[in-house]
Amino acid sequence: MELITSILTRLPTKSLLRFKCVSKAWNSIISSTHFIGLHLAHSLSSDRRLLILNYGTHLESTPLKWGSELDAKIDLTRNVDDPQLFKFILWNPSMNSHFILPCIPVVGDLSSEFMGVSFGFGEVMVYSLKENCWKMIHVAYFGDEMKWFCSGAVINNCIVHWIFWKYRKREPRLRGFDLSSFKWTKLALPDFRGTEKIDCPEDDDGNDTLSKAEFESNDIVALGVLDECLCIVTRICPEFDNAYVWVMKEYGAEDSWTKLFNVTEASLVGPLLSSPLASSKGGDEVLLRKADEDGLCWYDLRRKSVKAEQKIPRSLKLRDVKLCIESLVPVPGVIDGIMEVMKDLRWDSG
Amino acid sequence: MASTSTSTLSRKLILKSSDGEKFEVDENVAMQSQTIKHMIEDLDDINSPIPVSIVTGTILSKVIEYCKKHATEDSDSDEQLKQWDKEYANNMDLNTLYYLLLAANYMEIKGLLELITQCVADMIKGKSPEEIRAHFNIKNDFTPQEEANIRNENPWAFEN
Repeated sequence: MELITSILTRLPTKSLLRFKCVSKAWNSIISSTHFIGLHLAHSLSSDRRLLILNYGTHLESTPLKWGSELDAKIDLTRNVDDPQLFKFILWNPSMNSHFILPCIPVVGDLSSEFMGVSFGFGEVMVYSLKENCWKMIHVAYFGDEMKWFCSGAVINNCIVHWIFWKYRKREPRLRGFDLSSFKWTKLALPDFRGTEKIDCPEDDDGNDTLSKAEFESNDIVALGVLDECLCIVTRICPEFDNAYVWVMKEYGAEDSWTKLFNVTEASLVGPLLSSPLASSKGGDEVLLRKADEDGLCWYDLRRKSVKAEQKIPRSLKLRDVKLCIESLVPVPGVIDGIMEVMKDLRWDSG
Repeated sequence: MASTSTSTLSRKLILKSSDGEKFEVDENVAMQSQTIKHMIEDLDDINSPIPVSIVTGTILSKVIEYCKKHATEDSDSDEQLKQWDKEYANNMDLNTLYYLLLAANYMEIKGLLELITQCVADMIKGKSPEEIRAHFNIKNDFTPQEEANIRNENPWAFEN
C-alpha cells in the first residue's frame, strides 16, 4: 500500500478523482487528509502547475506542462447575482470546485472602484476559512503618504507582499504581511541604481548605473513570484524600451537581489506588464505574458529570444494570468493552518 | 568523487535470487542496495552467496543492470544518465515494472525506486478505473450504486 500511495502522489488530480472508484481502499487513500498533504507536497516540489486565465466573465485553467490533462472552467457572472456587489470566490481548478466567501462587512463607503488602485490610507481584509470570518488589519504605521499599486505576491503560502510608494521621498517600499502572525515586515528592495549582481553574462557593458534621475512610481511595473522567490519588474534604466527583471534569491536577504535578465521589450514581447509567470527547470527560460497578442511565450534568457508560444485558448481577450499549484485540497477546506484571501480596500478618508 | 578507502580491493559478492540464480557483482555495485549493505555488515563469510529472497533472477538481473550503470558515476554526465534511465524504464512492460518496484523497495535502492514509481505513474495516469483494476489485479468492492455516486461527484474527471 505504501508503494501504491507513492505512485498515486505522482498523478495529476484528474486521474486521482477518477481512480477513487477503483476500490474502497483506493478511495480511502485518495480521500485522506494525509494523502492530500503528500500530493500537495509533491506538486510543490515538481512543475505540476496550472495557468489560470482570466477572461473577465469567466476563468479557465490549463496545465502549464502541455500534455497533462486538465481543463476546468468557472463562470463568474453566474456566481455573482449583483454585479455591484463585490464577491470573493475561492476556486480550486484541479478539483473544479468553488466556494463563495461571505460578503465583506461594509467598511465606510465601499464602491466598486476600490478593486483597482487604492489611495491614501490602506486597510487589509483577511478572511479566515478556519474561523469563517473577515478581519481587518490596519496599515497604520506606513502613514498617509503611501500608496500601493501592485497586486500582492505570496511567499511560503504565508507572507503577502506589496510595494508601496512613499510620496514625500519619491521612493518605493517593499512590505510583507504575515498571515499567521498578522505582522508586517520590512524588506529591502534591490539597489536599482547601483552596480548589482548580474546573472546574465552577455548583459550590457556595465554602464547601467543611472544618473540622479528621480524615481517615478510607474518605474516599478510589477511584483510577482518566480520559483518561490520575490520578483520585480522595473523600467528604471537608460533605455526606456528595456525592462529589468529582479529576483530575491534568498528570502529576506538584501544582497541576494539579483538582476535576472533584461528584455528589450519593443523587439520581443511588447511592454512587460506582469512579472514572469514561471521558469523552466534549468532556469534558462521564463514564461512571459505578451502584451500585444494576449498570448504567453517562453523566453530564452541566454539567447535573448522568444523560444516557443505557450498554447492557450485564444478565443477571448485575456485579462490576467496567474499560476496555481495542482492540489486535491477541498474548497472550502478543513486544512491544518489557515488559508486566507486578502484584498486591499480603500479607506474612505473623506 | 574518487573513493579512497575501499576501491583498491574491489571485492566481488555473489547475489542469489529467489529461484536460485547466482550473480557475481562488484561490491560497489551491490552496495547501492541499502538492504545488501546491511547484510554484508552482518556477514562473516563474504564469499557465501547473499540471498535476495523475494526477487527472481529475471528481475534481479535488471536491478543489477541499473546498479552497474549508477555505480560508475564519473563516466556519464547527469544528462546522459537521465537519458539512460528513461530508456531503461521505457523498455519494460507494466508487469515487469511492478516486480521491479517491489524489488527496489525490498532492496532499498532509492534511485531505482524513484525512477520506477514515476514511470508507473506516467503509464497509468490516463487509464480508466477498469483498466487499473485489471493491471493491479484489484477487486471492485463497491456496489454499483456506490460506484455511481463516486463517479457523479466528479463526472468531468471521466471525460477525455
